[in-house]
Amino acid sequence: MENFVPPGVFFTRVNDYEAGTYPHVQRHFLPVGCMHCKDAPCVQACPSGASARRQDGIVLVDQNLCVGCRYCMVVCPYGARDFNEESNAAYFGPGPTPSEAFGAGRYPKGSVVKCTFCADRIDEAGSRGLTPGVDRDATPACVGSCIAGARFFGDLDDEDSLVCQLIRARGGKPLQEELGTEPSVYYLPR
Amino acid sequence: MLSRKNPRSGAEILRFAQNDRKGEIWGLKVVGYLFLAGLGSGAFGAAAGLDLHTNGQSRDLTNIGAWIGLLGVGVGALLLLWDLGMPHRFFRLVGNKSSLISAGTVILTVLLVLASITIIVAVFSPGISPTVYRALMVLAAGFGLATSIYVGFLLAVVKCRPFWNTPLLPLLFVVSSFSTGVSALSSVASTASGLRVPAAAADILSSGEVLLLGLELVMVAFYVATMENALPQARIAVRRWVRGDLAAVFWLGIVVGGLMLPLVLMVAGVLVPPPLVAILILAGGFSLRYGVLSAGARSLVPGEAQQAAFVR
Repeated sequence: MENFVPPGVFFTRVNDYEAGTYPHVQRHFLPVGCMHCKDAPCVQACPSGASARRQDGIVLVDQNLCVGCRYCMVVCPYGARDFNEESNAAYFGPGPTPSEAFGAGRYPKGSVVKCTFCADRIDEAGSRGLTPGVDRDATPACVGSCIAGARFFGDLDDEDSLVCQLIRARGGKPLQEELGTEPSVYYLPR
Repeated sequence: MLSRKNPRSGAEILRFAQNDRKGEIWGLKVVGYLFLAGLGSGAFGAAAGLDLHTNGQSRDLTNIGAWIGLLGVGVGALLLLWDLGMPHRFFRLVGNKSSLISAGTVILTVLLVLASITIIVAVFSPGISPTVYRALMVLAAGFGLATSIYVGFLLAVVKCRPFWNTPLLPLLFVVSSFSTGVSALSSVASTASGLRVPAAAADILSSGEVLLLGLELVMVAFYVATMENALPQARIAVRRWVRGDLAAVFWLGIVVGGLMLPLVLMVAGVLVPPPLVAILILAGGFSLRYGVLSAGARSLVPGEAQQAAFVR
Protein backbone atom coordinates (compact mmCIF):
# COMPACT_ATOMS: atom_id res chain seq x y z
CA MET A 1 0.00 0.00 0.00
CA GLU A 2 2.62 2.47 1.11
CA ASN A 3 4.82 2.10 -1.95
CA PHE A 4 2.26 1.28 -4.68
CA VAL A 5 4.09 -1.92 -5.47
CA PRO A 6 2.71 -3.51 -8.66
CA PRO A 7 1.71 -7.19 -8.98
CA GLY A 8 4.67 -9.52 -9.33
CA VAL A 9 6.87 -7.18 -7.33
CA PHE A 10 7.40 -7.56 -3.59
CA PHE A 11 9.29 -5.40 -1.12
CA THR A 12 8.85 -8.08 1.53
CA ARG A 13 8.07 -11.77 1.33
CA VAL A 14 6.98 -13.73 4.35
CA ASN A 15 8.07 -17.36 4.47
CA ASP A 16 5.41 -19.30 6.36
CA TYR A 17 6.90 -22.65 7.32
CA GLU A 18 7.09 -25.44 9.84
CA ALA A 19 10.27 -26.45 11.60
CA GLY A 20 11.24 -29.34 13.86
CA THR A 21 9.97 -32.89 13.96
CA TYR A 22 6.74 -34.13 15.46
CA PRO A 23 5.75 -33.62 18.25
CA HIS A 24 8.17 -30.73 18.68
CA VAL A 25 6.99 -28.64 15.78
CA GLN A 26 6.92 -24.89 15.43
CA ARG A 27 5.37 -22.63 12.87
CA HIS A 28 7.57 -19.78 11.75
CA PHE A 29 6.93 -16.60 9.85
CA LEU A 30 10.10 -15.19 8.39
CA PRO A 31 9.84 -11.86 6.58
CA VAL A 32 12.58 -11.46 3.97
CA GLY A 33 13.32 -8.36 1.98
CA CYS A 34 16.28 -6.20 1.12
CA MET A 35 18.84 -6.50 3.92
CA HIS A 36 20.52 -3.19 2.99
CA CYS A 37 23.92 -4.87 3.19
CA LYS A 38 26.99 -2.83 4.06
CA ASP A 39 29.01 -4.70 1.45
CA ALA A 40 26.11 -5.15 -0.95
CA PRO A 41 26.80 -7.50 -3.86
CA CYS A 42 24.13 -5.72 -5.92
CA VAL A 43 25.90 -2.37 -5.62
CA GLN A 44 29.15 -3.85 -6.83
CA ALA A 45 27.44 -5.79 -9.63
CA CYS A 46 25.25 -2.97 -10.96
CA PRO A 47 26.79 -1.74 -14.23
CA SER A 48 24.90 1.55 -14.37
CA GLY A 49 25.38 2.71 -10.80
CA ALA A 50 21.60 2.60 -10.31
CA SER A 51 22.00 0.41 -7.24
CA ALA A 52 23.83 2.48 -4.67
CA ARG A 53 24.24 2.71 -0.94
CA ARG A 54 23.45 6.05 0.64
CA GLN A 55 25.42 7.73 3.42
CA ASP A 56 22.90 6.49 5.95
CA GLY A 57 23.27 2.89 4.74
CA ILE A 58 20.05 2.51 2.76
CA VAL A 59 20.55 0.69 -0.55
CA LEU A 60 18.36 2.12 -3.29
CA VAL A 61 17.74 1.53 -7.01
CA ASP A 62 17.65 4.74 -9.01
CA GLN A 63 14.82 4.07 -11.44
CA ASN A 64 16.22 6.70 -13.80
CA LEU A 65 19.49 4.82 -14.21
CA CYS A 66 18.50 1.15 -14.11
CA VAL A 67 19.11 -0.61 -17.42
CA GLY A 68 17.23 -3.77 -16.46
CA CYS A 69 20.12 -6.23 -16.89
CA ARG A 70 19.05 -8.05 -13.70
CA TYR A 71 22.58 -8.94 -12.62
CA CYS A 72 21.71 -7.51 -9.19
CA MET A 73 18.91 -10.09 -8.93
CA VAL A 74 21.38 -12.81 -9.81
CA VAL A 75 23.87 -11.79 -7.11
CA CYS A 76 21.42 -10.96 -4.29
CA PRO A 77 21.57 -13.76 -1.68
CA TYR A 78 18.05 -13.02 -0.49
CA GLY A 79 16.03 -12.87 -3.69
CA ALA A 80 15.04 -9.43 -2.49
CA ARG A 81 14.66 -7.89 -5.92
CA ASP A 82 12.00 -8.18 -8.58
CA PHE A 83 11.96 -7.28 -12.24
CA ASN A 84 9.02 -5.07 -13.16
CA GLU A 85 7.81 -6.63 -16.38
CA GLU A 86 4.49 -4.82 -16.73
CA SER A 87 3.93 -1.11 -16.95
CA ASN A 88 0.20 -1.02 -16.22
CA ALA A 89 -0.32 -4.10 -14.10
CA ALA A 90 -3.26 -3.91 -11.71
CA TYR A 91 -4.06 -6.31 -8.89
CA PHE A 92 -7.78 -6.36 -9.49
CA GLY A 93 -7.85 -5.57 -13.25
CA PRO A 94 -8.99 -4.70 -15.86
CA GLY A 95 -8.17 -1.11 -14.87
CA PRO A 96 -6.16 0.22 -11.95
CA THR A 97 -7.79 1.06 -8.63
CA PRO A 98 -7.67 4.75 -7.60
CA SER A 99 -4.70 3.94 -5.37
CA GLU A 100 -2.91 2.14 -8.18
CA ALA A 101 -3.64 5.01 -10.55
CA PHE A 102 -2.14 7.40 -7.99
CA GLY A 103 1.05 5.38 -7.72
CA ALA A 104 1.32 4.60 -11.43
CA GLY A 105 4.62 5.29 -13.14
CA ARG A 106 6.68 4.98 -9.98
CA TYR A 107 8.44 1.90 -11.28
CA PRO A 108 9.11 2.01 -15.01
CA LYS A 109 8.59 -1.18 -16.98
CA GLY A 110 11.85 -3.04 -17.40
CA SER A 111 13.51 -1.84 -14.21
CA VAL A 112 14.44 -3.68 -11.04
CA VAL A 113 12.50 -2.86 -7.89
CA LYS A 114 13.08 -3.62 -4.22
CA CYS A 115 12.48 -2.47 -0.64
CA THR A 116 13.55 1.12 -0.03
CA PHE A 117 13.24 1.08 3.77
CA CYS A 118 10.62 3.72 2.93
CA ALA A 119 13.46 6.14 2.30
CA ASP A 120 11.06 8.99 1.55
CA ARG A 121 9.62 8.73 5.07
CA ILE A 122 13.12 8.65 6.57
CA ASP A 123 14.11 11.69 4.51
CA GLU A 124 11.13 13.62 5.78
CA ALA A 125 12.26 13.00 9.35
CA GLY A 126 14.95 15.66 9.23
CA SER A 127 12.74 18.44 7.87
CA ARG A 128 9.97 17.69 10.37
CA GLY A 129 12.18 17.15 13.38
CA LEU A 130 11.22 13.50 13.74
CA THR A 131 13.35 10.51 14.71
CA PRO A 132 13.25 7.42 12.48
CA GLY A 133 12.31 4.36 14.49
CA VAL A 134 10.67 6.46 17.18
CA ASP A 135 8.18 8.63 15.34
CA ARG A 136 5.82 6.56 13.29
CA ASP A 137 5.75 8.99 10.34
CA ALA A 138 9.51 8.76 9.96
CA THR A 139 9.69 4.97 10.22
CA PRO A 140 9.30 2.34 7.48
CA ALA A 141 5.61 1.56 6.99
CA CYS A 142 6.04 -2.17 7.71
CA VAL A 143 7.42 -1.41 11.17
CA GLY A 144 4.50 0.86 12.07
CA SER A 145 1.84 -1.44 10.67
CA CYS A 146 3.03 -4.79 12.09
CA ILE A 147 0.15 -5.80 14.37
CA ALA A 148 2.43 -7.95 16.51
CA GLY A 149 4.97 -5.17 17.00
CA ALA A 150 7.58 -7.62 15.79
CA ARG A 151 9.57 -5.16 13.71
CA PHE A 152 11.96 -2.50 14.96
CA PHE A 153 13.83 0.22 13.16
CA GLY A 154 16.70 2.40 14.25
CA ASP A 155 20.31 3.42 13.91
CA LEU A 156 22.72 0.46 13.91
CA ASP A 157 25.67 2.84 14.29
CA ASP A 158 24.31 4.16 17.58
CA GLU A 159 25.16 1.60 20.26
CA ASP A 160 22.47 2.94 22.57
CA SER A 161 19.66 2.73 20.04
CA LEU A 162 16.79 0.37 20.75
CA VAL A 163 17.72 -1.89 17.83
CA CYS A 164 21.31 -2.29 19.04
CA GLN A 165 20.13 -3.01 22.56
CA LEU A 166 17.68 -5.64 21.29
CA ILE A 167 20.33 -7.28 19.11
CA ARG A 168 22.73 -7.43 22.08
CA ALA A 169 20.18 -8.62 24.60
CA ARG A 170 18.56 -11.27 22.44
CA GLY A 171 21.45 -12.37 20.28
CA GLY A 172 20.08 -11.05 16.99
CA LYS A 173 21.70 -12.35 13.82
CA PRO A 174 21.36 -11.59 10.14
CA LEU A 175 20.43 -14.29 7.63
CA GLN A 176 23.19 -15.95 5.62
CA GLU A 177 25.82 -14.03 7.55
CA GLU A 178 28.49 -16.39 6.22
CA LEU A 179 28.33 -14.73 2.79
CA GLY A 180 30.00 -11.70 4.31
CA THR A 181 27.70 -9.03 2.90
CA GLU A 182 27.14 -7.50 6.36
CA PRO A 183 23.35 -7.19 6.21
CA SER A 184 21.65 -4.41 8.18
CA VAL A 185 18.60 -6.50 9.04
CA TYR A 186 18.84 -8.65 12.15
CA TYR A 187 16.51 -11.39 13.32
CA LEU A 188 15.77 -11.76 17.02
CA PRO A 189 15.38 -15.38 18.10
CA ARG A 190 12.34 -16.17 20.18
CA MET B 1 23.22 -36.26 -2.21
CA LEU B 2 20.52 -34.72 -0.09
CA SER B 3 20.13 -35.74 3.50
CA ARG B 4 18.33 -39.07 3.71
CA LYS B 5 17.24 -38.34 7.26
CA ASN B 6 14.83 -35.70 6.12
CA PRO B 7 13.73 -36.62 2.60
CA ARG B 8 10.66 -34.45 2.77
CA SER B 9 12.57 -31.23 2.96
CA GLY B 10 15.02 -32.52 0.36
CA ALA B 11 12.20 -33.23 -2.06
CA GLU B 12 10.71 -29.85 -1.35
CA ILE B 13 13.99 -28.11 -1.96
CA LEU B 14 14.45 -30.04 -5.19
CA ARG B 15 10.95 -29.18 -6.31
CA PHE B 16 11.56 -25.57 -5.50
CA ALA B 17 14.81 -25.53 -7.40
CA GLN B 18 13.10 -27.05 -10.41
CA ASN B 19 10.07 -24.80 -10.43
CA ASP B 20 11.43 -21.54 -9.14
CA ARG B 21 11.16 -19.17 -12.06
CA LYS B 22 12.88 -16.45 -10.09
CA GLY B 23 15.79 -18.83 -9.80
CA GLU B 24 16.22 -18.42 -13.53
CA ILE B 25 16.54 -14.70 -13.75
CA TRP B 26 18.37 -14.91 -17.03
CA GLY B 27 16.71 -16.96 -19.76
CA LEU B 28 17.41 -18.22 -23.25
CA LYS B 29 18.62 -14.89 -24.59
CA VAL B 30 21.48 -14.86 -22.11
CA VAL B 31 22.18 -18.54 -22.78
CA GLY B 32 22.37 -17.63 -26.47
CA TYR B 33 24.74 -14.78 -25.71
CA LEU B 34 27.04 -16.92 -23.57
CA PHE B 35 27.13 -19.52 -26.34
CA LEU B 36 27.53 -17.21 -29.34
CA ALA B 37 30.07 -14.93 -27.68
CA GLY B 38 32.03 -18.04 -26.75
CA LEU B 39 31.80 -19.43 -30.28
CA GLY B 40 32.86 -16.12 -31.82
CA SER B 41 35.72 -15.63 -29.38
CA GLY B 42 36.85 -19.19 -29.97
CA ALA B 43 36.76 -18.68 -33.73
CA PHE B 44 39.05 -15.65 -33.39
CA GLY B 45 41.39 -17.67 -31.22
CA ALA B 46 41.40 -20.51 -33.75
CA ALA B 47 41.97 -18.14 -36.67
CA ALA B 48 44.83 -16.31 -34.96
CA GLY B 49 46.41 -19.58 -33.93
CA LEU B 50 46.09 -20.86 -37.47
CA ASP B 51 47.67 -17.74 -38.91
CA LEU B 52 50.65 -18.11 -36.58
CA HIS B 53 50.97 -21.84 -37.14
CA THR B 54 50.86 -21.75 -40.93
CA ASN B 55 52.76 -18.48 -41.08
CA GLY B 56 50.01 -16.67 -42.96
CA GLN B 57 49.49 -19.41 -45.54
CA SER B 58 45.85 -20.01 -44.65
CA ARG B 59 44.39 -16.56 -45.17
CA ASP B 60 41.18 -17.99 -46.70
CA LEU B 61 40.45 -19.89 -43.52
CA THR B 62 41.47 -17.16 -41.10
CA ASN B 63 39.13 -14.77 -42.93
CA ILE B 64 36.30 -17.21 -42.42
CA GLY B 65 37.30 -17.47 -38.77
CA ALA B 66 36.99 -13.71 -38.50
CA TRP B 67 33.54 -13.85 -40.10
CA ILE B 68 32.38 -16.52 -37.66
CA GLY B 69 33.87 -14.40 -34.88
CA LEU B 70 32.10 -11.22 -35.91
CA LEU B 71 28.77 -12.95 -36.47
CA GLY B 72 28.93 -14.88 -33.20
CA VAL B 73 29.94 -11.96 -31.05
CA GLY B 74 27.70 -9.51 -32.94
CA VAL B 75 24.53 -11.59 -32.76
CA GLY B 76 25.36 -12.46 -29.15
CA ALA B 77 25.68 -8.79 -28.26
CA LEU B 78 22.34 -8.07 -29.95
CA LEU B 79 20.71 -10.82 -27.88
CA LEU B 80 22.15 -9.21 -24.78
CA LEU B 81 20.76 -5.81 -25.73
CA TRP B 82 17.38 -7.38 -26.45
CA ASP B 83 17.41 -8.97 -23.01
CA LEU B 84 17.78 -5.63 -21.21
CA GLY B 85 14.68 -4.26 -19.52
CA MET B 86 15.47 -0.87 -21.00
CA PRO B 87 17.61 -1.37 -24.11
CA HIS B 88 17.54 2.36 -24.92
CA ARG B 89 19.67 2.96 -21.83
CA PHE B 90 22.40 0.57 -22.99
CA PHE B 91 25.05 3.29 -22.80
CA ARG B 92 24.65 3.23 -19.02
CA LEU B 93 26.11 -0.28 -18.96
CA VAL B 94 29.55 1.22 -18.49
CA GLY B 95 28.67 3.30 -15.45
CA ASN B 96 30.40 1.36 -12.68
CA LYS B 97 34.10 0.53 -12.69
CA SER B 98 33.70 -2.27 -10.18
CA SER B 99 30.93 -4.02 -12.12
CA LEU B 100 31.88 -7.04 -14.17
CA ILE B 101 29.13 -6.17 -16.63
CA SER B 102 30.69 -2.75 -17.20
CA ALA B 103 34.09 -4.33 -17.74
CA GLY B 104 32.53 -6.93 -20.02
CA THR B 105 30.74 -4.28 -22.05
CA VAL B 106 34.05 -2.50 -22.68
CA ILE B 107 35.77 -5.77 -23.66
CA LEU B 108 32.89 -6.76 -25.91
CA THR B 109 32.79 -3.35 -27.60
CA VAL B 110 36.52 -3.39 -28.31
CA LEU B 111 36.19 -6.94 -29.65
CA LEU B 112 33.34 -5.89 -31.95
CA VAL B 113 35.35 -2.95 -33.26
CA LEU B 114 38.41 -5.12 -33.84
CA ALA B 115 36.28 -7.78 -35.52
CA SER B 116 34.71 -5.23 -37.82
CA ILE B 117 38.12 -3.78 -38.76
CA THR B 118 39.44 -7.27 -39.48
CA ILE B 119 36.51 -8.01 -41.77
CA ILE B 120 36.76 -4.65 -43.54
CA VAL B 121 40.46 -5.26 -44.11
CA ALA B 122 39.82 -8.82 -45.32
CA VAL B 123 37.17 -7.69 -47.78
CA PHE B 124 38.52 -4.40 -49.08
CA SER B 125 42.29 -4.68 -48.86
CA PRO B 126 43.26 -8.32 -49.14
CA GLY B 127 46.77 -7.21 -50.07
CA ILE B 128 47.46 -5.80 -46.60
CA SER B 129 50.81 -6.64 -45.02
CA PRO B 130 50.69 -10.03 -43.29
CA THR B 131 52.17 -8.50 -40.15
CA VAL B 132 49.37 -5.97 -39.76
CA TYR B 133 46.78 -8.62 -40.53
CA ARG B 134 48.32 -10.96 -37.98
CA ALA B 135 48.49 -8.21 -35.38
CA LEU B 136 44.77 -7.55 -35.89
CA MET B 137 43.90 -11.23 -35.59
CA VAL B 138 46.00 -11.71 -32.46
CA LEU B 139 44.50 -8.61 -30.84
CA ALA B 140 40.99 -9.79 -31.66
CA ALA B 141 41.86 -13.23 -30.30
CA GLY B 142 43.14 -11.61 -27.10
CA PHE B 143 39.92 -9.69 -26.57
CA GLY B 144 38.01 -12.83 -27.52
CA LEU B 145 39.81 -14.70 -24.77
CA ALA B 146 39.02 -11.86 -22.37
CA THR B 147 35.35 -12.11 -23.39
CA SER B 148 35.12 -15.83 -22.79
CA ILE B 149 36.88 -15.38 -19.44
CA TYR B 150 34.67 -12.55 -18.18
CA VAL B 151 31.42 -14.34 -19.02
CA GLY B 152 32.60 -17.23 -16.85
CA PHE B 153 33.57 -14.92 -14.01
CA LEU B 154 30.23 -13.14 -14.27
CA LEU B 155 28.71 -16.34 -12.90
CA ALA B 156 31.66 -17.61 -10.87
CA VAL B 157 31.80 -14.57 -8.56
CA VAL B 158 28.20 -15.03 -7.39
CA LYS B 159 28.73 -16.32 -3.85
CA CYS B 160 25.11 -17.18 -3.14
CA ARG B 161 24.89 -19.57 -6.10
CA PRO B 162 27.23 -22.43 -5.18
CA PHE B 163 26.93 -24.26 -8.52
CA TRP B 164 28.56 -21.28 -10.24
CA ASN B 165 30.84 -20.16 -7.46
CA THR B 166 33.98 -21.96 -8.62
CA PRO B 167 36.99 -20.95 -10.75
CA LEU B 168 36.39 -24.17 -12.70
CA LEU B 169 33.45 -22.53 -14.44
CA PRO B 170 35.38 -19.80 -16.30
CA LEU B 171 37.99 -22.42 -17.24
CA LEU B 172 35.29 -24.72 -18.57
CA PHE B 173 33.69 -21.87 -20.52
CA VAL B 174 37.02 -20.90 -22.07
CA VAL B 175 37.75 -24.46 -23.18
CA SER B 176 34.22 -24.82 -24.53
CA SER B 177 34.56 -21.50 -26.38
CA PHE B 178 37.70 -22.69 -28.09
CA SER B 179 36.27 -26.10 -28.88
CA THR B 180 33.12 -24.63 -30.49
CA GLY B 181 35.15 -22.01 -32.38
CA VAL B 182 37.70 -24.51 -33.64
CA SER B 183 35.09 -27.03 -34.70
CA ALA B 184 33.06 -24.43 -36.58
CA LEU B 185 36.17 -23.38 -38.46
CA SER B 186 37.31 -26.94 -38.98
CA SER B 187 34.02 -28.00 -40.51
CA VAL B 188 34.21 -25.08 -42.94
CA ALA B 189 37.80 -26.00 -43.78
CA SER B 190 36.86 -29.54 -44.72
CA THR B 191 33.71 -28.78 -46.68
CA ALA B 192 33.96 -25.42 -48.40
CA SER B 193 35.05 -25.72 -52.00
CA GLY B 194 37.28 -23.21 -53.71
CA LEU B 195 39.23 -22.46 -50.55
CA ARG B 196 42.97 -22.84 -50.34
CA VAL B 197 43.41 -24.95 -47.24
CA PRO B 198 47.00 -26.06 -46.54
CA ALA B 199 47.24 -29.60 -45.21
CA ALA B 200 49.00 -28.27 -42.12
CA ALA B 201 45.96 -26.09 -41.34
CA ALA B 202 43.44 -28.90 -41.66
CA ASP B 203 45.65 -31.15 -39.52
CA ILE B 204 46.16 -28.73 -36.70
CA LEU B 205 42.44 -27.88 -36.63
CA SER B 206 41.29 -31.46 -36.37
CA SER B 207 43.89 -32.43 -33.78
CA GLY B 208 43.06 -29.26 -31.83
CA GLU B 209 39.41 -30.25 -31.96
CA VAL B 210 40.12 -33.69 -30.49
CA LEU B 211 42.40 -32.29 -27.82
CA LEU B 212 39.89 -29.65 -26.72
CA LEU B 213 37.01 -32.13 -26.62
CA GLY B 214 39.04 -34.52 -24.49
CA LEU B 215 40.06 -31.72 -22.14
CA GLU B 216 36.48 -30.49 -21.88
CA LEU B 217 35.20 -33.97 -21.09
CA VAL B 218 37.68 -34.28 -18.22
CA MET B 219 36.75 -30.81 -16.97
CA VAL B 220 33.02 -31.52 -17.04
CA ALA B 221 33.61 -34.70 -15.04
CA PHE B 222 35.79 -32.79 -12.59
CA TYR B 223 33.25 -29.98 -12.29
CA VAL B 224 30.40 -32.37 -11.54
CA ALA B 225 32.55 -34.28 -9.05
CA THR B 226 33.58 -31.14 -7.12
CA MET B 227 30.03 -29.79 -7.11
CA GLU B 228 28.75 -33.07 -5.72
CA ASN B 229 30.90 -32.35 -2.65
CA ALA B 230 29.98 -28.70 -2.37
CA LEU B 231 27.12 -26.80 -0.68
CA PRO B 232 23.54 -28.19 -0.77
CA GLN B 233 22.35 -26.11 -3.71
CA ALA B 234 25.31 -27.28 -5.78
CA ARG B 235 24.51 -30.90 -4.95
CA ILE B 236 20.91 -30.30 -5.97
CA ALA B 237 22.16 -28.87 -9.24
CA VAL B 238 24.26 -31.98 -9.84
CA ARG B 239 21.22 -34.11 -9.10
CA ARG B 240 19.18 -32.13 -11.61
CA TRP B 241 21.92 -32.67 -14.19
CA VAL B 242 22.53 -36.32 -13.55
CA ARG B 243 19.01 -37.61 -12.91
CA GLY B 244 16.64 -34.69 -12.67
CA ASP B 245 14.85 -32.37 -15.05
CA LEU B 246 18.10 -31.43 -16.83
CA ALA B 247 19.29 -35.00 -17.39
CA ALA B 248 18.55 -34.87 -21.12
CA VAL B 249 20.50 -31.63 -21.45
CA PHE B 250 23.41 -33.06 -19.48
CA TRP B 251 23.66 -36.57 -20.90
CA LEU B 252 22.38 -36.11 -24.43
CA GLY B 253 23.41 -32.51 -25.02
CA ILE B 254 26.66 -32.11 -23.10
CA VAL B 255 28.27 -35.48 -22.35
CA VAL B 256 27.28 -37.92 -25.08
CA GLY B 257 26.12 -35.73 -27.96
CA GLY B 258 28.44 -32.80 -27.43
CA LEU B 259 31.65 -34.48 -26.30
CA MET B 260 31.83 -38.29 -26.42
CA LEU B 261 30.15 -38.96 -29.78
CA PRO B 262 32.17 -36.34 -31.71
CA LEU B 263 35.30 -37.55 -29.97
CA VAL B 264 34.67 -41.18 -30.85
CA LEU B 265 33.72 -40.35 -34.43
CA MET B 266 36.88 -38.32 -34.94
CA VAL B 267 39.31 -40.60 -33.15
CA ALA B 268 37.93 -43.72 -34.82
CA GLY B 269 38.06 -41.94 -38.16
CA VAL B 270 34.44 -42.76 -38.96
CA LEU B 271 33.45 -41.07 -42.19
CA VAL B 272 30.72 -38.63 -41.27
CA PRO B 273 30.22 -35.23 -42.84
CA PRO B 274 32.30 -32.74 -40.80
CA PRO B 275 29.39 -30.28 -40.47
CA LEU B 276 27.49 -33.00 -38.61
CA VAL B 277 30.29 -33.27 -36.07
CA ALA B 278 30.42 -29.49 -35.76
CA ILE B 279 26.65 -29.34 -35.19
CA LEU B 280 26.99 -31.91 -32.40
CA ILE B 281 29.81 -29.94 -30.78
CA LEU B 282 27.99 -26.61 -31.09
CA ALA B 283 24.81 -28.13 -29.67
CA GLY B 284 26.97 -29.40 -26.82
CA GLY B 285 28.34 -25.91 -26.20
CA PHE B 286 24.83 -24.49 -26.15
CA SER B 287 23.64 -27.25 -23.82
CA LEU B 288 26.53 -26.55 -21.45
CA ARG B 289 25.54 -22.87 -21.13
CA TYR B 290 21.88 -23.80 -20.81
CA GLY B 291 22.57 -26.45 -18.19
CA VAL B 292 24.83 -24.21 -16.13
CA LEU B 293 22.50 -21.23 -16.25
CA SER B 294 19.38 -23.26 -15.48
CA ALA B 295 20.86 -25.13 -12.54
CA GLY B 296 22.47 -22.17 -10.78
CA ALA B 297 19.90 -21.81 -8.03
CA ARG B 298 20.47 -19.55 -5.06
CA SER B 299 21.15 -20.86 -1.55
CA LEU B 300 17.81 -20.57 0.17
CA VAL B 301 16.88 -18.75 3.36
CA PRO B 302 14.90 -20.65 6.02
CA GLY B 303 11.39 -21.57 4.93
CA GLU B 304 11.81 -20.42 1.36
CA ALA B 305 11.37 -23.89 -0.14
CA GLN B 306 8.36 -24.70 2.04
CA GLN B 307 6.78 -21.36 1.29
CA ALA B 308 7.20 -21.88 -2.46
CA ALA B 309 5.69 -25.37 -2.21
CA PHE B 310 2.79 -23.95 -0.19
CA VAL B 311 2.01 -21.17 -2.65
CA ARG B 312 1.79 -23.70 -5.46
